[in-house]
Amino acid sequence: MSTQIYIVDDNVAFCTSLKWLLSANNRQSTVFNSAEDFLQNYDGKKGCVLLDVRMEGMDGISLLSELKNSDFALETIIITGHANVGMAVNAMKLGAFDFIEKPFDDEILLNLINSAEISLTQKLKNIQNKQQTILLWQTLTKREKDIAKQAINGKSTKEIADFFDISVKTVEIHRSRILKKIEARNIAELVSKLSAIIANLD
Amino acid sequence: MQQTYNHINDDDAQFVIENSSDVISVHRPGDWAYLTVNKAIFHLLGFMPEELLGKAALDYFHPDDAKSIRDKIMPIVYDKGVYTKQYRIKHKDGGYRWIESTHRSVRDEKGNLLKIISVSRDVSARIELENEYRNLASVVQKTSDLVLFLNQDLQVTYNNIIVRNIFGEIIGDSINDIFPSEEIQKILTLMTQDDSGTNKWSGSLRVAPENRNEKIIEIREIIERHNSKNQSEFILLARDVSKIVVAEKAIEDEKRKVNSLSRKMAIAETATILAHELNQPLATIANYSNGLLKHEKYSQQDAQLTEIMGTIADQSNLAGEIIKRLRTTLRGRPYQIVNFNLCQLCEQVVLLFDDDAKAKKIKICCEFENSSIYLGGDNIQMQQVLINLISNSIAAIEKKSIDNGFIKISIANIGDRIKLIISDNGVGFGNKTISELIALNQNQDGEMGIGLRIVISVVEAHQGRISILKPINDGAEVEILLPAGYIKP
Repeated sequence: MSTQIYIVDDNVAFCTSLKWLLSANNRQSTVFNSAEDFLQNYDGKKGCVLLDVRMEGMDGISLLSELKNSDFALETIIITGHANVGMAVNAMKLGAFDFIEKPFDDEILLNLINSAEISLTQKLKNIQNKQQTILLWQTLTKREKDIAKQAINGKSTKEIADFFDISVKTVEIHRSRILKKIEARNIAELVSKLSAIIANLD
Repeated sequence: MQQTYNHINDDDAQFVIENSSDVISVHRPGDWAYLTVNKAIFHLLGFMPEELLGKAALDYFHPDDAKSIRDKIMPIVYDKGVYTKQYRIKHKDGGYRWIESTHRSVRDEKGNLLKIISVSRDVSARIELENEYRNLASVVQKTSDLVLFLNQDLQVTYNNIIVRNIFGEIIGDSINDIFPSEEIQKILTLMTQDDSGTNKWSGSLRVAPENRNEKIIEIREIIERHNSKNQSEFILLARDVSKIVVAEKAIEDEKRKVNSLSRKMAIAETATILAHELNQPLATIANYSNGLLKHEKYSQQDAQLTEIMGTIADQSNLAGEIIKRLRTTLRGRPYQIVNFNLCQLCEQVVLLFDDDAKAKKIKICCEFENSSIYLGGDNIQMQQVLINLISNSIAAIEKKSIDNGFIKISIANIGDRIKLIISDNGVGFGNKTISELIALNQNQDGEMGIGLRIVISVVEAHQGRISILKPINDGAEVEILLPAGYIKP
């Protein structure tokens, strides 16, 4: 899957050369010469950001921090003229996908971009799955939601029956209905799906 | 040869007594009333002899002395016959004079005490001088300075207790026994030079005494004076500065260490800047050459061109590798992460600036939320951050040429972060940001540029942020936020 590539670097000559290099590899890219430029003009498409750290005005780490708090479907690869451990740790903490030093072998960069795109796809798929689960969750009745919450807290059928003062049989009926509605094959899958949207469980 | 003596005849005796400059008096036992007294009494006490005859001498003694004379002297005179004593006696003018009297008892054949003969002279001048000396001596003894009197031959004639504590008993020793010869030369030079004509040299000469390894004394004054025989005497005033010297040396050593580290870090930072600046064009060259190889319309045209492009790409990557290796070599000391008290570190750094700040009339004060705020990180590098920022502040204050320079360092815990603020009342940064400052300084002498870059690199390495706060008045305020607590290596 080919996604958009965004180059954010204040060195114009480097940006032009990188854009050209990517085009030679049949990859299209958009150049932004500052972090502010990117925030203003980013088209919102999913993609991969090739980000310089030290730039005039807003620096790369600040932009990374902004992106982390946004809903943008982006993976970021830090490209820097020099790296230090602290900066690398900081960048990774802020969710950067990886780190590459200038000058670099184009194959290495292209491989990194590919990996980032695979990671992004997975991430997006997870988001999509989560959204799907949230929709499915809403189809549950009040009683089913209560029982499901007990189930993901690790309670056994017997415990749930005692808690709600209903029979084990009734709990089992509810449980199979919940599995069906959430499209889970078993309790383990249900727990996994619901845990991912734990914040959205009303 | 046998010598014969003639007894003095009565007339001669009378003549001697009448004309003696000493007071000669005869007293009766008991109240020591004057039975006879010569004219010399007038010069001593202002009384004519006839004014005193029949009067009890006891009534003229100073009250403080009368008791001891009555209780101690008189019985001794009665028992042993002769005694000499200094005491005060009333003058006609109402004041007292110090006199020294020798009393002798005269007895009859049966041993009964008949009378007491006294010979007295005025010793007020001597006693006053002695008292003066005693006062002076007590001051000299009590002072914490070393006081050493040397005679013409440079032998010690007096030393106070402080000298004794260091050197032991050295009275009579030559100065050559106390100091090594090269130090003696320096001291002698000072003794013999007298530019001001005051017979006094003041200054500071630090000397290490012979065979007292740890001791350093600082001679502060040498006074030359002449005794009654017009011989030169010297008084040396000095101070034991051994502990001060040790402390100064420790600070100097620390400064040297810090300076050497500063240089290394400046080199490493320069290498980083160089790497950054060179890697940009290298990356561009590599991109174009790699790109040319990939763009079929270029690469298929000319096999030789393709080969050249390949070489260019390889060479630029190689250059990048060389820069990376160079940086690794010049990086010097790697980050060493420990848990340390930032407040303590700050105080140590301020101590390093003590002399410099005092000389420039700059006050550096620390304001800590509490005295132990711990940071996980590289204490040596963090020390450089503080040093560079304080140096910048001092430079900024100097540029302003003010007399009330002020630098404040405050450290506080803000949630999971440590906030370090360094403010000063120097020329300030204007409204510039950190990156603008770096860009600005890169074009100038570069001193502060590198210093500031080191600060930024270290703060970044500690996952912190640095920013310039808008100062309330004029001056500058730099804020550094660091994650609190221990960072795992």
